[in-house]
Amino acid sequence: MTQPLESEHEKALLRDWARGNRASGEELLRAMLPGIFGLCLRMLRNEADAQDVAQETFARMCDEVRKGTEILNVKKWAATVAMNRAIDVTRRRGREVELEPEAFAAPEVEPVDSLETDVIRRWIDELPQRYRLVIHYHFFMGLKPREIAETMGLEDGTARVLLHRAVAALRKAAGQ
Amino acid sequence: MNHLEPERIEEYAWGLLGGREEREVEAHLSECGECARLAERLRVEARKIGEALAEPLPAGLADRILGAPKPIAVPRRRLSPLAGAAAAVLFAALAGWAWREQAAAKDRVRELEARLAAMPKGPAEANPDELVSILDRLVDAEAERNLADLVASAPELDENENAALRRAVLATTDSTADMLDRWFAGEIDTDMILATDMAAGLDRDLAAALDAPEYRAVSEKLQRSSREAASGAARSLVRDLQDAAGLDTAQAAALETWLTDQCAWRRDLPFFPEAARKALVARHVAGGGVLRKDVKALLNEQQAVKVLAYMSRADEARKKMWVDLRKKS
Repeated sequence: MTQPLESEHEKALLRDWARGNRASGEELLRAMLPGIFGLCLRMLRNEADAQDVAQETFARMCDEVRKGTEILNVKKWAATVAMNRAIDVTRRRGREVELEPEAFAAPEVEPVDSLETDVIRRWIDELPQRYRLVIHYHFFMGLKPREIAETMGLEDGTARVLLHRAVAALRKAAGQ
Repeated sequence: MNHLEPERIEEYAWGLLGGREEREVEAHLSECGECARLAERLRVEARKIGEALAEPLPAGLADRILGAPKPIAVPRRRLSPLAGAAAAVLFAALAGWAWREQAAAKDRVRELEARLAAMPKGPAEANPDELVSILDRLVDAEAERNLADLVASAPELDENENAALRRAVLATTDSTADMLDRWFAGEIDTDMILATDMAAGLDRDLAAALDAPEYRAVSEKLQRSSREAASGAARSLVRDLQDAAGLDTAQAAALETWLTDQCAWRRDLPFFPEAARKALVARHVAGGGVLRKDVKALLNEQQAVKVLAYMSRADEARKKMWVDLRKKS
């Protein structure tokens, strides 16, 4: 399983790449690919589209590095670019961008720790898009609520609440 | 004993609490078995959710994005402009080079282009050895011509600086020729990392080799040359397809500007013959899914289809030509 990159390590790779070290650029892109591709797949539910958007995201990153743009938080930057691009694709295909799901009255706290991972995956895929995204951002990519908020255009507090609700929704669906 | 709120234990298990809050929770967990058990379950749950989210990557996706070569059966033929002994001779011949060589290099390019145009069309009819030899020499001559222009624009360069400039440019054209070879052979689909590296690399090498005023002069000239090369190639491509795709004047102009902007940063473009420049520019449109959507935004659906088809054919035709050449060489 891919562990989220340590942010100091990824900063060092990015700095190195910007100075012309191609190997560092490759290492950074390879390490980030599972998180970004997974995000695109979660948003678009279509492998070909997900590949395109992932490729576009990394093309943008290469452009910015070439131009000498300073990227402060590369994971968050890439997630934002990928998400915006995926939204464009969704809109252009005429699919509805999913709306905010209704709030649950009481959060479920019975964890799904006893379930198999492929069962958990299936339930995650059934969740509304926003819940899928916030779960991916935190539990796979390791983004903190503030970073998630900035990526999704939310208030800090909202992102935190969304994360709790998403996991509660997962538990409720899996427990039924 | 009062228990912690479940959401607080969740935040602890998910690593969202900072310093003091985290210590407070840990202190409670060390004394409360029930909360500690819940925390442990939440940690396991968080780990399993992370594992569940891992999607297998499509085969070859990372390599496609990075432009890594696939294993090949046919041995790669290097189309490198100058190598070894030839380069050494040229380095030695640098003194008093500029003006004389510019005129001579221009003549050489014109002569080779004329010979190329006179050859039978298509690799099947052409004499492959002669074709390969002409193309090789054309790449060299084009590189020499543009190098001569570059040197002429910075007459204050001393012998060492001239040599450093030559090395920097030739290393770049070497890499591009290599990459072109691999593209046309179908070994790589994209060149994002390589192209980024190359553009930054040439600037970096020049900055290291030249004093600031000379670097600025050469760099500015290179920027202008790159833009001119991109613009020339873009104009030629758009002219080729304008009628076929039914583009009006405004669309043709917009497509030309867009193509130019996409490729003007390529410092290697000026050092390649026109056919190769057109191929590189066409590649940006035809290659990968990356830029197709941007092209589509400029045109209507039918036009977009025709433009993309043309760019892909241009790309495919050149790819086929190089593959055939390699097999015969």
